[in-house]
Amino acid sequence: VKLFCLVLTLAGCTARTNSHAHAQPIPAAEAERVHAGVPGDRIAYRFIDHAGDAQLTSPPLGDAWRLLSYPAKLVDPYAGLRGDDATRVIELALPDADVAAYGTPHALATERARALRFDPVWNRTRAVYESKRALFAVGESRYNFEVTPVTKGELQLAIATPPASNAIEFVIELDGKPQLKRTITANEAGIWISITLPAPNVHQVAFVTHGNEAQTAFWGAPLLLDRGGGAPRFNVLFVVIDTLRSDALPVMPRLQRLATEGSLFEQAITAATWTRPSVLAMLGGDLPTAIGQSAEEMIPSDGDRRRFYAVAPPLLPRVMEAHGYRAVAIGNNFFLLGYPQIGLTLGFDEVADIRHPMLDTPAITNAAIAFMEQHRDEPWLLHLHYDAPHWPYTPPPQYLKKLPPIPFPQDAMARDYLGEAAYADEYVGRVLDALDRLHLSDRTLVVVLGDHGEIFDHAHSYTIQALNQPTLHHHGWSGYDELLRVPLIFRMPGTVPPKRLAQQVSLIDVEPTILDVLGLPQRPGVRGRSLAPLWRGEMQAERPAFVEGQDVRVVRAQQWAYLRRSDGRVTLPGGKYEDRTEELYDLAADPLEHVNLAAAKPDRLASMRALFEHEAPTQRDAPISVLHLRVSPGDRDHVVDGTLHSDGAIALRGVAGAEASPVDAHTLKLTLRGAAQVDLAIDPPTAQLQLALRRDGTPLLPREILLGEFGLPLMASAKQLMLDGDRLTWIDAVRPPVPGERGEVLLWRDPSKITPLALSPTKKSSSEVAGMMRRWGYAQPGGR
Amino acid sequence: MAQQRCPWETEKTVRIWRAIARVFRRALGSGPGAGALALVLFFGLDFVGATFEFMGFSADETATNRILHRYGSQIVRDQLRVLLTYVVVGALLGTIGTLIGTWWDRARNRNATPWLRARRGILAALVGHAYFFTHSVVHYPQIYSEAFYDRGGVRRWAMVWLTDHLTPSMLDIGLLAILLVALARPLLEQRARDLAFAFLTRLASSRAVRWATAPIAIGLIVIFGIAAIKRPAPSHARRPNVLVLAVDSLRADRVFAKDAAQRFPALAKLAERAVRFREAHVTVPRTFPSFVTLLTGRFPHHHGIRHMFPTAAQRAAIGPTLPGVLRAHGYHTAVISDYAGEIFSRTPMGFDNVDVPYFDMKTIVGQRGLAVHPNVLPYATSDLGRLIFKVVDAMPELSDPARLANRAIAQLDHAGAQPFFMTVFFSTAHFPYASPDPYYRRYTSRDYSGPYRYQKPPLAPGPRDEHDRQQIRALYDGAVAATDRAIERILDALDRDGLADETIVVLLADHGENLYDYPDRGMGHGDHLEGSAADHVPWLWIDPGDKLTPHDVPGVVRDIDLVPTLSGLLHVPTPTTDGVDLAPLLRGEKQSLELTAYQETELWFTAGGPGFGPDERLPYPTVTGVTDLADDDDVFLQPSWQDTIIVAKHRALRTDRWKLLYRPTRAGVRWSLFDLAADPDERVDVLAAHSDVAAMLERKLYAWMLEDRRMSVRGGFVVPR
Repeated sequence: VKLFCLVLTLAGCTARTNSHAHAQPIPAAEAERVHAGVPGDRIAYRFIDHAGDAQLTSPPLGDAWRLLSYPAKLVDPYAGLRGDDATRVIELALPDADVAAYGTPHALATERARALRFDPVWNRTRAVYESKRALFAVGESRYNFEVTPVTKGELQLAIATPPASNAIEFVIELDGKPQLKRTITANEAGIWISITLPAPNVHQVAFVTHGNEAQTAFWGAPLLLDRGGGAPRFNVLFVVIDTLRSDALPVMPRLQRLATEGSLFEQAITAATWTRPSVLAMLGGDLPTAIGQSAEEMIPSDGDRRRFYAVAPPLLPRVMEAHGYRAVAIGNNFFLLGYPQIGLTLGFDEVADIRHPMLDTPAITNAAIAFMEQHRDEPWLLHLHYDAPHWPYTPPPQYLKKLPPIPFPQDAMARDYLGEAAYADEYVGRVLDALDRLHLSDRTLVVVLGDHGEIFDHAHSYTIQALNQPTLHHHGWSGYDELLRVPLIFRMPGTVPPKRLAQQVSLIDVEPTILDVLGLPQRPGVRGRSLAPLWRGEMQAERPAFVEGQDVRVVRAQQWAYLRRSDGRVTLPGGKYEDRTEELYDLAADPLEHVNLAAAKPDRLASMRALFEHEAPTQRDAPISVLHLRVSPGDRDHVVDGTLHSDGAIALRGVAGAEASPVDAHTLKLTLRGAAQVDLAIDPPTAQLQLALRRDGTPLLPREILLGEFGLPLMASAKQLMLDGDRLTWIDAVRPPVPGERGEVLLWRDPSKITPLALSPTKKSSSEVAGMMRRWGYAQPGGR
Repeated sequence: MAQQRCPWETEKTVRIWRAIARVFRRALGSGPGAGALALVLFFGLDFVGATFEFMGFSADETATNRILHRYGSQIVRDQLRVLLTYVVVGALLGTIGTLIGTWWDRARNRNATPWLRARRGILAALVGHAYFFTHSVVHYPQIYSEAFYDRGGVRRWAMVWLTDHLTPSMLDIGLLAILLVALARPLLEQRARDLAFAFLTRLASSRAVRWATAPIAIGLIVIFGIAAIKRPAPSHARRPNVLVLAVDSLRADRVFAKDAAQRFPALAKLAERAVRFREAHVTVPRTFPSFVTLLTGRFPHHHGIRHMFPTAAQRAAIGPTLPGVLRAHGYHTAVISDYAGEIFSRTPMGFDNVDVPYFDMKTIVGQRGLAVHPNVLPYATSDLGRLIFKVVDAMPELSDPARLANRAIAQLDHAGAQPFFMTVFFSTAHFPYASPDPYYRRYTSRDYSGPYRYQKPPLAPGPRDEHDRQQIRALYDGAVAATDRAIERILDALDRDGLADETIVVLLADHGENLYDYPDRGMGHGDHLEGSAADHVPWLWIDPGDKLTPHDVPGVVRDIDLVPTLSGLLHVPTPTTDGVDLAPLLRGEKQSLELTAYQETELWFTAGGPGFGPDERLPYPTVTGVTDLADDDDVFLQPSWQDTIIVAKHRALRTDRWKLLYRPTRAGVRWSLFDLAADPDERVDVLAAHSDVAAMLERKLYAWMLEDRRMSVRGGFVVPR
């Protein structure tokens, strides 16, 4: 009955949660070491990182953000800002519909871009989506930044307004003087317009907009460069070729040449069997589950997404940005952007997601070369993601002609696949040529790798019943070597010696290796290890490789591979049913993995099971339980102040509209004005907690402080608000309490252990997802 | 020099266009074709000025996109179905026009031109459509009020004029008159009379008629004979049937009122010969949890349905139900209902035969697609149309108890040798209180011109003054009267089928209704527990087999007691229940079992209202903020809100003498105590004067709330451990 309101659920929007974590500042001594006087440009000031400190005068940002109907947007989860301030830093993707011309100078077709249909789940409309971390502005607004002056300062940024918006004026003031005025007309709305502005010895930078309250504007990826100030020694060119099997290398002359110039790992094992978790692992130095998003779900749930951003894993782009690099991604990989439901934003300053099955390869190449030309002397991490060998296998015909015969599974589609590999090879080669041409090769660490392979061996062809997916010509849900083994090449003359290394390594080792080469500190507590010692000839014991996938996980050690399915029901070609919960292969005797020894070798099976249990990652918990004190908005603004005392150590995690100053390690003085929030962590979480607050000078009684998930005056009868022992659990909240609108004072705590969501996908829903993926071209129909 | 041609002017396309034009000309030249085309015009006209709103809320772009994305193909299919309906109806009406026209032509011995045939087809289509449309508007004005009355202006005026001045039977007579004139007019001509005479003579003397007469007569005799002897004599060895007549939102005072005999004669007559439970109270005054409580005999924290948006898993785990037990003991179990009974299609409650509509997101999309086409509604809502447009059965504006009675009577007429347990659940008295002709105007005033002329739309703004409130109460009474009439027909059928002597009849309600009895109590049910209008329901119980004598039972009884009582009467094992067997009360051995009734509120749809204002409730988002849409288009409460909603519920406890109210707020728990003996309307809080009673009852209420094993008491609040 009375379901009349349901329709409104359709309009319900997804709540976004901001991260608690900030990027760590760089210790001065280390910065010194990294910027070791190499000629080049230095990033003197990253405005995005200081958005919380900027003085902002503006109409309420939060409201404008909620009203902004443009869908390809996201509150930046890594900026560490809370409340209304969170919307200061956002990510916004604007489409360029002319994929063919992308990366070369071309007229921007804003009309066509506006006509693009938004797809909330898969972002599958063909176009280039240029996403930037940006400052958000509305109407008459002004961001004031105090910057450290540099002699040869230069501002670099891009400005934009949402598609179909009216003219709005952008003004950049340097030390109070307007230095640039630019009106973006309705015609130019919806595209990024790049701006470079000399800013020598400037102390103050103000980003000002003039418009009415309904107009919004974006200051994309603003940076202050110190020309000639000394760049870090090395850049990083990080090239992923999607679905590239290691045995496709013989048809790729450019990569072979690269391998002779640098170190080739002949037995590199991916960490996950499909793109999103695999890229996560290579950028995070750990297995996807441990980083925060497992390989099981194609579409992360809201809870998964919240947890991921709450943990805020320090992925390579964020680490490098914190060390003075600009991190840019160009590629065909729709998992890289946070606004479609399948993706997670990974913290790149700028991402160009090129959504086209055929034109993407030249567009990525052209855009990459243009980027390197424009930012030749600046420090960067450039991540390219080529999609060519991924389904559909449709190479330009000329690449089929020159394919040499190589050992590869007998399959009707193998030639087409290899043609795609050759096609990608040539374009990667062009990027490498440009690197040479720009004299960057000597100080650029080039990393080329595949994110996973593909099943071509017909002995591995069957249908996974739980997912309703075939294995042949697919990846993601099987775990044989042809899917796990990918090329992995590092090149930097003088640092990486030309070598071929036969030891088994994992893609989780890639990020620690890059940090090692750049001279950045390794992160403790991750599974990945730097591979540099191997090419330096130091002996290291080979470690087991663990691989995650959908429905399947693999552990590979010595000559053995052990596969385990969560749901082992498979249908073989011909319709025969089989249980493949466990598989065991002797890779030395049976490298093609045709003979399952699970039944024949019970002892080996037992030891591999034990190894599997040992290596399998568990979901990472949020770092520590975070305590939140919030004052809700009310009719008028009150000042709530007082002290918070704990037996444990108090660490401040974030403030919005509030001041918090530590008196000592155990006491914090707080002042919250109007609607405000303070987040803090207490170590250990069991430590006693005492709160003494006043509102406008009058002491707040315990019954006026609302506790826990439901926001209730649970301590009404107490004399003072003191929480210890069991009472600390009273404030645990699976979900933040409903804030209220009457100046309520709320105190709650994220549970110390976030319990993993035990949701196994139902047959129905997963078959729907399977169907969707087929319809939308992510997976091809049928198991041909 | 060759002339430049547009791409669409190639030889081939020109030929195609000409062929299309030819088809159109031919169609127009025939009566049925012209009739079909005339009605197809309505398909287009419907879109002119149509509002693409969803239940009064304009859908924004995102919502529209999501709907189109998910239901695009369904929308196209629905619209094609509407178009096809227009074509078929138009063609049929055009055919009638053509047949009459041919009769006229024959009479005058001339041939019609194609244009004349077209005019006749169009005229017949328009006259026929005018009849069906007006008839439907007058019969079921609620389904048209959004398109006409609510939009004001000439649309409103026309609709009011129709419903004020016409009745369905007047329209029937009018149409009959037109048909008669059209058929009889040619008889003024001698030639036509000759033709007619010749035709009838030929018909009477034709061999076919003669041969057919005898078998038809014999057939009729056989059919009536079988009907007469079909009903087997009641065998006393078998268990009695049970007929549960459930009326949504029926207040106890409507059945037990002094003037009930005039207003609701069937209910009054039933009450006269029944055991009358005067103080029956439900646990959750909302349909879904209330029915599950009634049919399982268990409290909501035991069967798990705490609100109307449980997940599929929760719906599947409600435990054993009375119909399920009866089915296992040889009963045929059936439930028949209209829109409010959709819960039975989503939740297995042990019924063999579930004749209720289905409701989910697809249904809403289908209903909105129909709402664009008021001109197709007369056909879509007809008995035939409902087979094609299934979504109309789930329309709250179209809940005619007469139709429900038809379905129930058909089942009773075909009752087999198996004993049956049949639940008939009438939705009409639930808001929007949409009752058909003549009930919607029975108690209302013609002069009323406010927003609730024909119904109280759920999302319409609240009443402005006493006139509005009066109108709402009058609509409610009209809806009860319509239901009353349907119940009368069902009980008559029971008599006629000879089932009355072997059938236990229970009349009850899933909850009552606040009807602005006091300004601080508002309208509706399940939002608060102040006063008893929403939880006090009528219970009438007739058991011919056990020879119960009609009498009043003054003691408190609860919905949870139905299962043990019925299973006791029927001699089947009682499933685990929280209730007790009321047999001593039924037999008149006791006045009261001194039972305690417990109550809880349901989900709040809006931010606040009378009885659940900001100071009276714990805040949580409106219904759209806490629900979600599952893959199978089912709406469910997001699990993360489940605890908040349970913690925020108001609870109450009721004995024969006292009522205690627990309302958690952010300023602490608000307790109230009412002395029902002195103050039956619950206006005076006597907590301070009877603190000892309150303390005793508080312990009892906590004990009940803590039966939910997950809960504990902290600072006076009942919260999850």
